[in-house]
This record gives sequence, structure tokens and C-alpha cells, in this order.
Amino acid sequence: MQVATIKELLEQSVASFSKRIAFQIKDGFDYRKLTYTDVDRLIKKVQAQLTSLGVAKGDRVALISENRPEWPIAYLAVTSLGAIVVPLDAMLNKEDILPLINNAGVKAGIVSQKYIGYITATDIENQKIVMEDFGQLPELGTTEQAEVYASDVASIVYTSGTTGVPKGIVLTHKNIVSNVVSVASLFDFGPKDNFLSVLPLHHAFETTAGFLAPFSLGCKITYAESLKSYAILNNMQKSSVTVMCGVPLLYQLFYDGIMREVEEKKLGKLFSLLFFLSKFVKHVIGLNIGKVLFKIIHKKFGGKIRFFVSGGAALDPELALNFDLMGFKILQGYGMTESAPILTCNTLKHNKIGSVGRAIPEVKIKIAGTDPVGEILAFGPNIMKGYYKQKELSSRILINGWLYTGDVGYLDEEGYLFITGRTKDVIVTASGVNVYPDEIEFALNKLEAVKESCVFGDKVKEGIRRGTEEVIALIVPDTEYFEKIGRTGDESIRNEIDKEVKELNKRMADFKRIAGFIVRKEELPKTRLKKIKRFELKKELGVK
Amino acid sequence: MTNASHRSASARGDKLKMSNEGTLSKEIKTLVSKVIKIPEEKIDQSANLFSDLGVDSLLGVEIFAALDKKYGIDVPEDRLKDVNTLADIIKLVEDQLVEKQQKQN
Repeated sequence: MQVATIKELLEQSVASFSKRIAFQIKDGFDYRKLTYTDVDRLIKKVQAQLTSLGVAKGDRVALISENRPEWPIAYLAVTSLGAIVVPLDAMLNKEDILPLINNAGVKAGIVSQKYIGYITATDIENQKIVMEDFGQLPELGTTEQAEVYASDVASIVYTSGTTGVPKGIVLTHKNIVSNVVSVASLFDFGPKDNFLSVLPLHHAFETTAGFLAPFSLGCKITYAESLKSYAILNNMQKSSVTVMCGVPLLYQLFYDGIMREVEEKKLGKLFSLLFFLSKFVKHVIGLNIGKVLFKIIHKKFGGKIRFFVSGGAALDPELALNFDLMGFKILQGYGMTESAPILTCNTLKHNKIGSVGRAIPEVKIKIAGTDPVGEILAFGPNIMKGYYKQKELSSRILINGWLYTGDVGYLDEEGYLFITGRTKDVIVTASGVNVYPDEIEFALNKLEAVKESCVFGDKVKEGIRRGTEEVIALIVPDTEYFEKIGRTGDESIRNEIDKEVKELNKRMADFKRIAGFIVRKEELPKTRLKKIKRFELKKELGVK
Repeated sequence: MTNASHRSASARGDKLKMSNEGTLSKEIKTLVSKVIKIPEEKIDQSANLFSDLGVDSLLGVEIFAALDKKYGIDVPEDRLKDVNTLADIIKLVEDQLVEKQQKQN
């Protein structure tokens, strides 16, 4: 595939797969289907409308909606016009979205009816295109378009902001397309494949692996109308899904669902025997007969699944192994939005459970320092240009073209990467969402009862999310405030903080919510530059 | 909905609530416990699902899916924003069951 920009990728796909179905979504009892030609026609309409709103090359356009065919259409329309798409997380609250819209300085917005309220009373309230209206937009012919180059910025993707300053990751056409081409070259995707899209499309993993890569190869993409597991399975059965990208928690939920049904139908002994048989045959003759033994489970998944891809958070090797014994491959990959996002990936031919795979074509991975275990560094055409309007922050993570990932790991003798920890303070939740401690501290420190705070991730000790991380805060009460309101006892102070934290939790997106807090009377230890000594505090509390 | 029909729906809801209160609460607690894999005795009616029990949006949707299956209802995913505690879930299911009953009548 010889393409350098998203515009060229679009043109090539439309020319090669014109009559094939590009996107579909359940609508009533049937599917609403759009061919590659239909997509192209709608893109031209959206581009004409964007132009009439004054959007030109280099302008930013916000994109907010649930997963649906209009999302990729809007993305392709904006980027192939030479404008910059700003995909926003529809799960955030309006008050979280507004600083991002302002930071990016967006000129227009493309929203679904459901999220129209997010841009009400903003500068772009009258500069919007509503997705439900795409079909009714006038046919204005081909819009005169500026040249789009590989080095042009295609997208600004926001991750959770830190200390109130949004962190926008600037990705060029080259960053994104090189990643799409590399990923596509590892798998024999083609028009016979049907991808089920369940992860939020604003997430770079879904944008590249679940949308652009399959779109570039003429695949069909089915958008799940619901994230409920039975609805996902229903989609798989009805539309013969072959590939799906998911986060570990989703696969865990599938597995638990299967096991609950096994338990309800009192088939536990039979399943244990089948697992044993599958393991035995694999061990003795190296053959995976899981697909035959667990035919009934494959039927539940539609019977056509070729493989699943997992990213966003660490996949439990035992879960991957259990799926493997049932004849399902879950291929784990690794990356970050700063690398558009895929850096390494297991493939059908080269899959080492427990690892995140080998570097994808054109990407180099090395470990910093001389020890075998250290910070993972990455180099390649997919590495971002930098953080939007944040030169200093960019220079800290990009050094001589190498991306300092903040993750710690090692490479085995065959080049498979294993991740063992992190150098950064970011908290990775079970759903693969990153939470930045300073962002939560910023919100906590605004509370009247709080003088200062330190937020970190602690391992969840029980439940389905056991072993993953949750947000814990160390809080120093504002004694002056408590004296003023006449509350001095330890319990009374704790109760007041608890009340304020609960109120704060209600205002925050669910993945950012504070799961627990510890009250500390002494001031937090700081460096000479007044930075909190997190490491020291974590050690003191026995948090790893 | 008119005031009269609202009153009758509310009366039916109260009746349903009274007849099912114990069973429904217990069933829902068992179901939530199974999805999130936390023992029932550790789940308090007023505990915050998100901050106390570690439920996130994906798990929340899965709880709704389990409720749909068990009670033959269709709890919209959007309603996740209105739910904070187990008691909220119980109330939501009661409302959905009343709605279902009304449709059947």
C-alpha cells in the first residue's frame, strides 16, 4: 500500500473497494449499510459544509459522538480536507470537554444529536454539523481542496489533562498512516473481514487498529450499538464478525459470562475435561484443537472469529491462555497515543502469551541504560510531533527522536517485549484509561477541606478488577478551615473530607473517581523545587 | 403521562415494590456481586458503586446487561449516569419492571 496521507488512503480505498460495505450498524432488526462509495459521497457533502463554515487547511474541528458510521466519515472528511480533527471523549463531562475545545482553538464541531449539548453556549455553537443531518446536506460537488502533505498535522488527540492544562498529542498524516500501514502488513486483513468496533473511536487504538487499518484494506466495520456483552455477541452472530479490538476487562467479562453459564447449566466437570484435553493435545502434539472441542462457544461468538486484539492495559496471561485453549487467539499489543499508537504487537504467526509482541515494521524499540530491565524507548515514523503548545513537556518525552514511554520492561532474546512496570505516575485503570495524578490533585486541592494532596494508583485487592489499579489519595486537611468551622476531632475531619470527596467524585468521569483516601496530618514531603516526593510517600504507605 | 395514569402507575409500582422488595434487592445484590466478583456481604446498599466497589463504565454496562437478561428489560446504557449505589440500581429495575408491566397491560 503506497499511501502517505489519510487523503490518499481514502482515495485508494474508495477506488479499490467502491461497492463493498465499509460501515454498518444495527438499525431496528436490520443493519444500516454504507458502501465505500456511499462513504465517499457523504464525505464530500461534509467537506462542502465545512468549507461553507469557513473551515480551511490547518483549522481544528472537534468531533464528539458515540461510535457510529458518521464518526469515521467525519474524521476522513476533516483530515482529507487538510484540516485537523480533534476527537473528544464523549464519556467526559461537559466541564471536562470545554477546556479541550478552547485549548485546541477549534473552528467548528461535528457532533451527534446526543452530544449537541456539549457545544451549546460555546464559540462553535453555530459552527456545527450534526451527524444525523449528513444525508440531508446539499450536494455541492467536489470542494476545491488544498494539497495535503505527509508532514501536515492530521489530528490532535487529548489525553487526560494535567494540572488543568490539557495535553494534546499532535499527530501528522505520516505518524498515523505509517502506523496503519505497518499494522496492516502484519495481518492478512481483506474484504472478507468484518471488524466489530466496540472501543470508543476517539481512543487512538480504535482509530488506527479498529478503523483506519481495516478501512485501508477494504474490510467491513460493524459498529456495536451497545456495549452490553449479549449485544456484542448478538452482533458477532448476526454479522459474522471476524476481528475485534478490545481491552482486557472486556475479554474477562466474556470469559466470566461463559463460566457463569457453564455453572448454571452444571457443565463444570465437562468443561474441566475439555480444557484438560485441549491442554494435553497441545502439549503432546503441538496442535490446538480448542476450536473443535469448544465448538459451542465459538458458535456463541458467531463462529467466524479469526482473532481478538487486546490493548490499553495489561492482559492477564492466564485469561489469554484459557481463551487459547478454547481455540481463540487474543493478540496483545502495546503502544501509546504519542505513537499513533501501536509500537509492538503479537501476530498469528508470532504470539508469545505474556509479552506485548515484537516491534512492528519501521519501529525500533530499545531499553534505556545498560541493565536488561529499564525504561522502554521507541523510535519510528509514528512518533508524535509533540504536545500541542507545550514545548517543554514535549522536550522531556522526545529526546533525539526517541519517545521515552515511561513504561519499564525488557526484550527477550527473540525480540518480544515484556512490560514490568512504569516510571511515570500515570494510573492505568482496568479499562485501559490513563488517569494523571496531578489532574486529580488539582481538583482535590480546590476543596475547602483539603490543604494538599498526593494521588497514586494502588492495586485493587479483590473483585473482577483485582490486580489492576484504582485511584487513592493521601490528603492533608486544611486545619485553618476546620478551626473556622469548629471541627477538630479526627473522625469529624475525616467525615467532612469524605463528604467533599464524594461530591467531587460525582462531578468527575467515573474512571477518575477516588476509590479511597488516607488522612495525613503532617505536610507532604517535597523536593527543594516544591515537588511532592511521591516515591517516598508510596514507600511509606507500602504501595508498589 | 396524565396525572391519573401517573398515580396508577405509581400505585402499581408501590405494590410491585412491596411484594418484591426483599427478593428483588437480594437478587440484584447477588447479580452485582457475580459481575464484579465481590462477595455479597461486602456490598452495602448505600456503597458507591464507582468509588467504593470499583465499578467503571464497562462494568456498569455489564451489570445492566445482566439485569436485562434476568428481568427481560432493557436498561438504557445512558442511565448509568443516574446510578451511584446499589439502591439506585434497585430503584431503576423497579421502574423498568413497572414500565414493562404497563406495556403488557
